[in-house]
Amino acid sequence: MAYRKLNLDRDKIDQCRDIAARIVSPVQKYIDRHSTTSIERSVLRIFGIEDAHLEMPHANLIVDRLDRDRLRKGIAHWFGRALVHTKLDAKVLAKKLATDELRLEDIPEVPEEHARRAARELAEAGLRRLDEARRKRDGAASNLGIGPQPWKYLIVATGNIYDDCAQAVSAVATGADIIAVIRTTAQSLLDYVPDGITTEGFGGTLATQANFRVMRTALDEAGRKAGRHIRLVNYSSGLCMSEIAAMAAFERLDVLLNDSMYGILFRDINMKRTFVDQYFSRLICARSGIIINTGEDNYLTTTDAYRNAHHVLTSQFINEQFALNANLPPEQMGLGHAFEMDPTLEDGFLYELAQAQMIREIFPRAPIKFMPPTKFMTGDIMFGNVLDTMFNVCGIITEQSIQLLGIPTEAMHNPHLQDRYWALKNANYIFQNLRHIGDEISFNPNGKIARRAHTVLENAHKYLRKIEVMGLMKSISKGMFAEIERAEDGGKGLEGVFQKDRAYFNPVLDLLKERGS
Amino acid sequence: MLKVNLKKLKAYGDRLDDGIVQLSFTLPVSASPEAKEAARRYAEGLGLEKVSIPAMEPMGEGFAYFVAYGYAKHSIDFTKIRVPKVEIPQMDYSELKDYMARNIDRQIVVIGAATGADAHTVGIDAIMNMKGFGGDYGLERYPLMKAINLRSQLTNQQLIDKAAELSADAILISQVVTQRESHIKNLKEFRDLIKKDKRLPKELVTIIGGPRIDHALALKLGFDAGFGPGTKPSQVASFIVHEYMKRRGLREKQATVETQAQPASQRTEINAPALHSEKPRHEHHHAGKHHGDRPRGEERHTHKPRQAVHHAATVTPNKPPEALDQNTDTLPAAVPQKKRRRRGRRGGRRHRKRREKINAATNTPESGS
Repeated sequence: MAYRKLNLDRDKIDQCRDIAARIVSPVQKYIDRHSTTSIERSVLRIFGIEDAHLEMPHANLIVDRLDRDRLRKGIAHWFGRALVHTKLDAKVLAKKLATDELRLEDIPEVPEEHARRAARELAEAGLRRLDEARRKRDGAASNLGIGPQPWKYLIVATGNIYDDCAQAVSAVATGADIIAVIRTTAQSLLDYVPDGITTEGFGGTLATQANFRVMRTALDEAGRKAGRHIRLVNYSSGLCMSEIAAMAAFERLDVLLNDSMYGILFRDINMKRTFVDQYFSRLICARSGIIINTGEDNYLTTTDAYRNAHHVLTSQFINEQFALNANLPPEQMGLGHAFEMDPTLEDGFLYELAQAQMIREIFPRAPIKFMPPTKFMTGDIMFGNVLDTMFNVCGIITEQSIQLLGIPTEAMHNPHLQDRYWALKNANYIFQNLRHIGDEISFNPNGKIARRAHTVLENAHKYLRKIEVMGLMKSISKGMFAEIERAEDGGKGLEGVFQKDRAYFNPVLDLLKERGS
Repeated sequence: MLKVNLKKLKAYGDRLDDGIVQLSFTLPVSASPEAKEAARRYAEGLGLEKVSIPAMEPMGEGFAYFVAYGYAKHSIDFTKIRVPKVEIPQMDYSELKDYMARNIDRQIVVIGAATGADAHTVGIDAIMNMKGFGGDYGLERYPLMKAINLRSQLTNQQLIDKAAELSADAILISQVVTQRESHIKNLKEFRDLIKKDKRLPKELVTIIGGPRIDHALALKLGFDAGFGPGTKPSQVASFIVHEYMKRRGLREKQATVETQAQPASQRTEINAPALHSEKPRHEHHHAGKHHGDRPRGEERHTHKPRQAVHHAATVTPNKPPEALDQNTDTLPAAVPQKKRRRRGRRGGRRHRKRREKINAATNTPESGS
């Protein structure tokens, strides 16, 4: 791959990585000392506790019924003890606990070693299921093959999982490689994952394990017909970040939206909660071979894409370090960015090229995800199509990995069936017609594009240094990202964060960490 | 010049009154000659004659997409059309700034949010954030406005509580992505809640905005104004300032000689007695229902809101700023370079300060909700 066209300062890039590592390090120390209710629920889910009682998941009921002081030892400690004492099957035990037939705190002590062994066995069984799901998916991908990059990423969002399937299958027939089922918008603030197949939602469809399964089955079928593996995407963000990761891993999803800071900035979720949760969720993604997609594109919807291009790069460096800490290899880091410059900007396309090429070169192994224009889509669908065309041209020239296709009716409604069709036809034509254009192009070393890339890198370097001095949490509270300010103890979900006891026990965490080091 | 018959207005394709219409749609059947014929008849049923289907595209199994052309039979009497609009004089940022400095003795408090299930803040950000939209500064930049953008994920009740807490003079609600009329449901709920709430002053201005909002809908739902896509912040600001003065019976003070911001035509417009003679209407404003009863005649002969400028159609190229130094971090884009630097630095600092204050005010009460 001809990834060195801008003659970027490699030392500067290395320095940026070093600074980002130093920025993340104190946060990682915080993460290592803490857990959250969501992580403890994920542990139960990996133990195989997937049922619900009166629409509330057993995992929630069990964790919520245990007082916070006891929870500091880890749910696995208590659950393991109950397993040994009652000798019940995990699911049966979970049901009794969830319906208050049994209480964890009432169960008499058993030898610590026995309790731990019981929990560890469940954890190992859970991870075997994760690994099995991964093998199955990787097998399908290598048997069927996958489309050439940029992978065409399309969104469905009807609220009804069956309509979603019909639309997804239609998109696959026209060339889609990746299907994302948008979540109903308020789901990120739910502190539990709903249960079962759903047919109602606003602006999207509820993420449930059953819905994952329905869509996975539909895409497997569509993929067999189309002769390529179709990747499925959902959202590991919000208050149930790590639980969704576990559920998605079991149901063979391929990609998860997962950002170390998105929830803080754009969903007003408490930063401590998000940092602790993202770590565990990424450990699961790493183990399951799930590609994460980070949300830097969102910054450009609140700030100016030309002036604040270095914010995107800065955040990518930080996301990369968090990901490395969670054992994610670069091949699973779908760092995000977007084509959002004002279309009236003179030479705007050159700056978009500079940005996209620069990111490609700085993260050569990462499956970079390129997001389409949204801010300057007006409802003039003809002009919208032109903007999307330029976006696609930029994507293929700069060899992006994942191209979220722009839809001409952006900002009007969730895409109609034919909207998606236009988008695909546009991308099919451009990607096919310009397939190897990237190999043919080199940039004038003193031209606008190269100079712009250097400037953005330089600015990101300065910005990282500023953040390092201030500290990451303080920087967020000062509006350094997306020009949005979030207080350290503000936002939602802080009550779910707790400090681990010295005897904290989490066999899932131990196993997940082991693998990478 | 073409002689257009306004009493019988028809679509224009190639010749006057040919009534040519283009449309595209999907039928949930696979592409086939029968599907194409079905599409033709479907378009005929929509009132088109001599329908042609130049494109039938298969979209996977069970769906086909069509482009259709046809000649529409019917016509519209244009002379009979009345559309409710926000009928107030429009001023731009600097005109409004001067106007407010002359006429208003305190900051107008404006709060805004995308409410309900909608988490899309592009609309409210474009109107409220300092930078604004399309070269027009946002409400945060107005010195005599205290603009507080609460962004998204608020319930209607939370927004109303916030309005009471901050003594808001105006509330902006944005509804961007909606499905199956969920925005209507949400706005109705807001209206019902606000009617019941005793803490809010009767002068409170309520405004809605979004791609599927227009002024007529706003009035129908009991809001004071509705703004559709392409709206500039100054249009919203003009309306807020105008209503603020009107509802308090404030009269405009004349501009001094050195502030020549206002063109003469607009000055007379603002002084137009019609605006003040409407006062009694607002005695019972709070019920939010009077708009429906507003006599239609009022809507004539006033200024139309400024048209939204399409990005691609703008003639002057937007030059990028040259440097990206740290100091320019908070500068707005899309205004001429010189002006931006001078104002931006001042504005930037003030902006940050105020935002810190606002942040302190807005972040505390709802943590952990």
